[in-house]
Amino acid sequence: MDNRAALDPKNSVVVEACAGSGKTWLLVSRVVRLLLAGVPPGEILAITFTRKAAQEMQARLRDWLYELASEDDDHVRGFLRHREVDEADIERLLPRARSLYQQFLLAQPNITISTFHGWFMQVLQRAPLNAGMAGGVQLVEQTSALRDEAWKTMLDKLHSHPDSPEAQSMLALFAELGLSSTEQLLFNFLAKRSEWWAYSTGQGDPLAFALDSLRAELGVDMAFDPVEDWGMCGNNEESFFAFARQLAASGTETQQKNASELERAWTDSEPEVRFDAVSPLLYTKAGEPRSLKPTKKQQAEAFLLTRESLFASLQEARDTLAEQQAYRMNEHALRCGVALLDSYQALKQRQQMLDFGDLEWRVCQLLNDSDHAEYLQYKLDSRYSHVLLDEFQDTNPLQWQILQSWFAAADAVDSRPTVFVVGDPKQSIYRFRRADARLFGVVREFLQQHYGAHHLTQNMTRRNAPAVLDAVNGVFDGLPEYEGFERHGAHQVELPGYVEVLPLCAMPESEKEAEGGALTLRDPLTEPRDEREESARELEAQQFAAKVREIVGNWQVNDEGEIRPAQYADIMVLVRRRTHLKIYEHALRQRGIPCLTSRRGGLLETLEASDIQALLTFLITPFADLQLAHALRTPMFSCSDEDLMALAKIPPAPPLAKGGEQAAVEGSSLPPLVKGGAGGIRSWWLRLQQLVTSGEATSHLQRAHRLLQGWLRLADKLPVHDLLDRIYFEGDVQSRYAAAVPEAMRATVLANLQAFIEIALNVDAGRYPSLPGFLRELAELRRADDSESPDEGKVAHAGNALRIYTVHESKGLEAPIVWLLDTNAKPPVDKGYDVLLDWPTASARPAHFSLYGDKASRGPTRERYFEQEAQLAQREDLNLLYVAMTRAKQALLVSGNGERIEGMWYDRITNAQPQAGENPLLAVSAAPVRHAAIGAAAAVDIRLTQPLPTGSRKAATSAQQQRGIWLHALLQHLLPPAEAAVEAELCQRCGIPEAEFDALLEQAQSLLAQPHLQCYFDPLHYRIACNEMPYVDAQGELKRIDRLVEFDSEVWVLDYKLGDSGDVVRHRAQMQGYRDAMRTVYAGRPVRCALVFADGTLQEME
Amino acid sequence: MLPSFFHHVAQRILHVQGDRDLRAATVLLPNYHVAQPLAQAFGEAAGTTVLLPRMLTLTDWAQTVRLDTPIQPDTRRIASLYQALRERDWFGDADLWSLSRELMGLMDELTRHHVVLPESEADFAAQLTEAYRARSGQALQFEARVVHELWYAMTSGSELDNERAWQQRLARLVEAVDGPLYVLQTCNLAAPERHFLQACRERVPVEVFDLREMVAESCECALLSRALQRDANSADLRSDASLLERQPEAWLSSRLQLFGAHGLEQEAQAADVQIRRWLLEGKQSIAVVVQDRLVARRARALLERAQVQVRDETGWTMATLSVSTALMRWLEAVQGDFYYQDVLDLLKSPFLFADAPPAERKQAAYLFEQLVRKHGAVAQLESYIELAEREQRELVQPLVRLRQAMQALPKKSVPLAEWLHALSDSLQILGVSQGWAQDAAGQQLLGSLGQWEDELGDDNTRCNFAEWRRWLAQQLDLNTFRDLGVESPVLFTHLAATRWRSFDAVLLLGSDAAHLPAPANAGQWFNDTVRASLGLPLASAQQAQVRDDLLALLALNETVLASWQASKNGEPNLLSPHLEMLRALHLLAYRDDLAADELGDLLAQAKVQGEAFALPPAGEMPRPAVLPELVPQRVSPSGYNSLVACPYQFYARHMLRLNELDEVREELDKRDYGTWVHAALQRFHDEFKSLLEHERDVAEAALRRISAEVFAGALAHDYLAQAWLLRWQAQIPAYIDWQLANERAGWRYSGAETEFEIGVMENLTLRGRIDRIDYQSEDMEVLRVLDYKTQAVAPLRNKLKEPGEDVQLACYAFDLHASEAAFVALDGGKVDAVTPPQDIAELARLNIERLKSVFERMHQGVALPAHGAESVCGYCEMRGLCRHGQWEEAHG
Ligand code: SF4
Repeated sequence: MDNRAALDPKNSVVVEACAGSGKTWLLVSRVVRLLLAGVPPGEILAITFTRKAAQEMQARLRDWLYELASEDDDHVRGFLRHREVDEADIERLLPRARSLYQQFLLAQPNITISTFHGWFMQVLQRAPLNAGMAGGVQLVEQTSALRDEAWKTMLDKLHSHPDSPEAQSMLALFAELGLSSTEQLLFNFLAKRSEWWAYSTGQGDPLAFALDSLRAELGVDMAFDPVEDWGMCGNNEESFFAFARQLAASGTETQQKNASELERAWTDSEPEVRFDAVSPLLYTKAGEPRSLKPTKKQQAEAFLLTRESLFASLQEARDTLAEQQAYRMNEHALRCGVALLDSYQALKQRQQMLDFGDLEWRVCQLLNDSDHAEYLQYKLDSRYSHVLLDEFQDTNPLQWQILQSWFAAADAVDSRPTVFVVGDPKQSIYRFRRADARLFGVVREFLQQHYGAHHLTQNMTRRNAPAVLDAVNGVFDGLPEYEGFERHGAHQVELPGYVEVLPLCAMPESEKEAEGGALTLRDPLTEPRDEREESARELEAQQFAAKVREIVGNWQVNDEGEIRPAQYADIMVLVRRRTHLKIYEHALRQRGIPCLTSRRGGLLETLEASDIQALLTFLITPFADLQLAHALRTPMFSCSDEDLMALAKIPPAPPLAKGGEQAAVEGSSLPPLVKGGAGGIRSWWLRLQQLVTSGEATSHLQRAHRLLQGWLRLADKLPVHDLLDRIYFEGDVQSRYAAAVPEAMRATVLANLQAFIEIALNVDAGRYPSLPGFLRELAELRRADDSESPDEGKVAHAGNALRIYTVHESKGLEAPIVWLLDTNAKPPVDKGYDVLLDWPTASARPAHFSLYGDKASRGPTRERYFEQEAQLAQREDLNLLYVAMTRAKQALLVSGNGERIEGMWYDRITNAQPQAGENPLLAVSAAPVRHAAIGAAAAVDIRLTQPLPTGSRKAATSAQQQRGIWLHALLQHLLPPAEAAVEAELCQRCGIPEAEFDALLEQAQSLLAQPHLQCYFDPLHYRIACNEMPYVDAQGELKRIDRLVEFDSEVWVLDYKLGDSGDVVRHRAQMQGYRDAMRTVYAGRPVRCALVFADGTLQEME
Repeated sequence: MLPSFFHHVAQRILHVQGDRDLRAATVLLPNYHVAQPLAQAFGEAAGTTVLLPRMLTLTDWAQTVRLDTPIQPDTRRIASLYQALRERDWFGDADLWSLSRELMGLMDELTRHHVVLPESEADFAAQLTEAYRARSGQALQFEARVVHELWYAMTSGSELDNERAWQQRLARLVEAVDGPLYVLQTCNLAAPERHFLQACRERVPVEVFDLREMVAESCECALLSRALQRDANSADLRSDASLLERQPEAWLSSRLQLFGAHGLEQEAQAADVQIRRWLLEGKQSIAVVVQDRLVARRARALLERAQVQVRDETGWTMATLSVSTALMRWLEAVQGDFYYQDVLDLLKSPFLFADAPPAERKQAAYLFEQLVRKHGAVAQLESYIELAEREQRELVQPLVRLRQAMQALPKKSVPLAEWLHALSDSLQILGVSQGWAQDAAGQQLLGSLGQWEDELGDDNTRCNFAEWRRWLAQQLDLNTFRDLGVESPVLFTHLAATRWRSFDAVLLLGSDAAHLPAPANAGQWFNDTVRASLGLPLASAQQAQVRDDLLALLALNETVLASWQASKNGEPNLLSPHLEMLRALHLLAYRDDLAADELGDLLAQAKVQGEAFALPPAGEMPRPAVLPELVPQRVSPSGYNSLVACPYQFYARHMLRLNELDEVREELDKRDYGTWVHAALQRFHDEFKSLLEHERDVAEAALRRISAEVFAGALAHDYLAQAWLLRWQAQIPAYIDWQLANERAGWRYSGAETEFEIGVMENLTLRGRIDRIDYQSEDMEVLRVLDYKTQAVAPLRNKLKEPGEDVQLACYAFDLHASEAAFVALDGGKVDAVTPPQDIAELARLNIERLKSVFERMHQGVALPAHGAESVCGYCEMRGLCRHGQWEEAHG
């Protein structure tokens, strides 16, 4: 491909580039070229699909610009040449290139590299005031709790309005679909709310609109009764009996029996009964026509003819029925769906929340209004002159619509940007997030037509070895259902590669059937139940784990040019779904192979996280015995079963025993409780206390008791995170877990413990935190969808562990060795109860929107949509395979289990790569393993491991002292040179509470009125006076003198002693300090010092 | 040692003012922390005692000026804006409180920068149109209208707002200025202050010490200056670097280090360790400049492990304090019909009922929790009180207290001040005020509530409960609590609070691009060009200020560590652009990237150790040998099932006798359904022993009627009961068919819910209850036991596949010597009996034998292994006890 055209800032470009071909390189290079061309950073908008990708681009850009700023001229020239800068321009651009780094760091406004959602948020913040989006909103990422609440709220409403149409419809749904399918259907509707809005936007009554459209499309007349119609029609009767006669005539015994049954079925005169009686004879349970074939003796032609005509008429009636049923279901479900949506939206509105769907839809609406869209062009601090879109195959129609409106508005204000689109339709695997890969073609055409865009394709990859590419090409090249694939070429032609398809693991025949023999029962004490019947999958897992052991240390991988033995971390394992992961992980664990599974949303289900939750639950619910016992068994306390039994055997005690009362007051303040009525069982916490008091507790129990008691005292006082930190610290949580759990799990367990405390940190930073609130939130998160609950902790330095991902998660990743597991499995089937959608790629709104239940009730009219869906799903499944295979840099291993199924991944790869060739990775030519020196780190100052008590709480000032301070302040404000102030102001300025003020003022004024003090207080008597006079002495110390009075002949230093009077000696040193200091200032004049007491006494200090 | 800048200032002032007595002069400080070092510099420069100039902040100085016009507090302004917005109904459902606050911010900005809007709205719109360089559109017109109309509405009153008051004060202060003025500055002043100094210049000498200029002139700071004091377009990094190479004194390695952490925890650890290292080195003042609050919080917890306390100048938003939690939970409880979680949360707050001993409240919390768990009471105070009166007299009093406190709150719209007053009453009744009085944050909150009530005394904005609660929430979001009661060499503070301050060491925490500078708050009003044309400061001014502050900090402090998360959740995370610039220049000029490498290596070993206690051994599968006295004397079929599934589970359930807590169930679920179905069938068959004796329709109708009666209670409460009822109704015809078929096969209903007891051995009985027993009409001795299951056939069949894995039917059969036993699968519109594939009598015998053998061995102390199968462990509540999954499994 010609990078020259792609990188030229003047061009709009659409690049279709295969996996591993360096799309990010291209995109960031183009940004550099734009900056070189003098485009202000603020005019560049780059959008990609994950925050991570955006961050990586940003980092890459910074590194390159630093390179340009810091390397020598030749290097920079090379860099520019590599990015296709015209030779003629290079010298001229050198200084510019050098300055870009600083520009990038400091530009205002700066370049925008963001996700769609990030950018939408920015746009929304600038939304015009009249767009109905004013006021603060908060973006919520977790919506399943909201959804459940909306569902509950709606049900409550239906409950109180049982006669409303919604309530009636809901009952109809319950009756027809049952509770869980109804829920599933309505939740799926809610999930597709953007599409619903897009479909029904601008309609006064969206529900009526949707139903009218559907009715028209299905062509149903709900008043029409197809059964009656069929039964009453003479022609039908004729063809019915004609067929029955055909069956009977020279038919087999069964046929004759069938015939007579048919005739009997007709006897009822009620059309409905008749129809119901006839149907099962002609159709299977699954609704397929029975294959009633003519025998040799029968006249095939006539037989078939009558059969056809009978089935045709029947099928028509059945189809009409199905359509009617589908319509009725839609009527009810859409009505309830809309009610649920209303409830959901109202809930968010009340709490000023916005979810991602709202965000997208609002931006779309905003930009659909041309006045608003234009306004936004003005409102941004700089207009985008260049828009770059990464991973474009993952865009959804709404996002494209938003972009289109944006472009239109830019046109309206005459500032059309260049557009650079890069992506790979082959890697489109996000249909469940509503991405539509077909958009790529539409957009390409649009940009070619309106922006004169260049269309470029890139099929050279920098990632994969030729051997891997051979397999990729072998699978996809020429595949009819994978139209448009072009053979990939390798950039690194010398890179050794290897592809192996392992034999499918199947159950050995002999073991499939259980043996007969005498009836015996398993002894549960000695023999675990082995329900993991030696399944084929089990075998695959064993094969996989064994081979991994073989690979590590023996195969040689190329690590950025260096050849070294493979480690666990070099192996990336991919699965389509997580469903059976446990079995594979189990096999790995058995062989002690460390592995990391980034199981989304799994954190709270892990044992270590449930340990902490149990402990916290106990701390606020001290009668939670199981939780206490659970906590005791964790590595934190590592109490044994003997410890637990010691607690369990303490006999029941009557309520309010002595120890109980005691405990109620001191520690947990927990009354002994009566549980389950009879007998009265003490809570385990009280038992523990008793055991400890009586001296019978083991050291483990003693320690547990001591720590728990401390935490119980803190539980309602400390913020959750601080409490947890205390627990982690005092319970020595990390070290103890590290000691207790198996090596292979250690890193993950520790990371999870860390992740847990970070949840607390985040929750605590939120509003209105409390421990019960925190636990409630956790419970909610646990219930939430997988994608919404907290992820397991990321292991900071992944360490040397094998990684398992779903193919979806592996996007953007690569590894020297990739293993595809379970490749003989069928893709997931449509579970039904969902939204059926037809959104023509280029159009602004879906052309069809309806709901469907199970397969039986779909009806024929919508069949084409289902087919279209199925095709897209198949295409996506191939895309998934493409993504999976292209992750491998050097080696690709493929395994599966069961009987080989045609068209599955395993089958496809095997067909392309029937036999593994020589394995070049096994060559024994590697450099010796370099062990990173884990030398003894510099000895650490031992004091760092010990407490370092620092800081203290200030002693509280006594009321007396406080009054002294206020009086001080008052005097300062009342005495000249301070200006007279009104009382209210004085009160405020001195910070005196109103209640205290009058008394203090009186005291101050009486002091001021003392005749013998007038010479210090009345300006008539002295030359100058200062209040609170600061000075610095020769030692550099800052001091203050309460009042300094200068007379012609002498200087007086007054110090108020308004607290306790008396003890003059105490103040001698202080006054001496004042005197010395003032002597140096007033050289020659005598300096005299005195203390002034609250009662007016003046005590001169000699 | 004092930074040289102070000496420079001191010398200069002494030079101008004479060397002993500076009292005639005034020095305007950025904050009071500067006074001490400046005084010290005066002392050192003069070498003797010096009477110091007036040293204060402009804010304090201006406070000494008296104003004649009253000032309108912001609380009242927001309330009037709110009222104005509500009347105009421009914004539909938007949160008007936050809009009001934003608008007030805009008004203040306009005032502060002396912007005067044209008198006519059209003119203003035209002005905006021009500034936007836009065609006029509705959006623009509307923006103009909102700002214009409200601006005039708000500035028409006679009272001053804070910004105007400030300007008036400054204007008057000018007249009072009587001596030379010195100003310490680090960044550009805003308009009013600029005007003030301008006016002063006409009366007295004014000298400004701008740290930026001083830095620019200092050789030592050449690198700082080059990196932080130039605009974006002037650079050539390489030539800068080569210039710097010739200025080795600008080398920063001994002053500044950068630490890029892997994630939050490591950054917090680094902060913790570095601070303690500094303390051990004897540093007396350590400033932690907090940019990222989360890291700071984490670091602070780590410091507390080492008993290092922190003085925190940054403070906490009131909404994040637990004192506020008590308040908001209370209001939530009132608004949410006393939803039990809110009530529980409230009862567990130490601030509630603080006028009584805490044990009483805890007792109440405990009793309440028991009560709601037992009865599944979800909401409604009155229903709790009723329950309490019936079962827990002790709980009545506390609940009644909640009722009284609720009654103190108005039921209709009243002005804000009235709400606050009522709130204070209700908090008094709840004993919350008393609790707050014991707590520093609580005291401040009490004070603030009182102050707002005072301020809003004259305001007549009537609000309903929800509006008022939102107002209160906003107030709690806007106000900060600072606990200044701690004295410590370690100080957490803001960047802006470090102006002209120097510390022994400084840690810049959270110095990534997202926090330093923090993103400009774009807001909904205008854009940069418009702001510029109006005379408002641009976003870049805010950024420039951060840069200036950073420059000052680095110039004044000799030991600085800046840390950030170089990776965050596995994503790269960029360093602050300013520090990045510094690093780049330093690297080029001195081949040193300032990385604090050795700190990272230190972290693992520098953790504070808690008390020593032997580490636990590697986990292994527990196999307790049970004490004979714990072996139960009785077992039920489900207990036996548990024993078969996993002996350890049985041990935990039936020997340790641990149970899960009852959950407060807010929703009906399948368990309820099962109970109702059982009840309905029992009642039905008690009436209809044999269906053959009745018309089918009659029987079916009867079952329908009975079912409706059984479900009726639930239907009254819960809409979902409808769904369950419908599900059951769909089952009824199939059930009737099945029962008829049974009867045709000779089976007759004999009884339901029959208790049985089998003496297995001397000290063990097996006890249970059989769902239903049938007998053969031919031979009454021939019995069959049935167990209803609301499950489909397939899973039930699976249960029975392996002999002895599900013991229920076998136990029943043993008791009655039944010749048949079956589960009745009731699901999916079908009904079917599922029988074990083995001979039932033999199965029953073997099961009882096995039970006996197992118990005999348990009495002998045989170990009970935790070897449940994966499918059992998946739902086992004892997983935390046996630690399944955290021990090494046997190989192969
Ligand atoms: S989790 Fe499994 S092994 Fe542990 S007690 Fe429960 S069933 Fe037994």
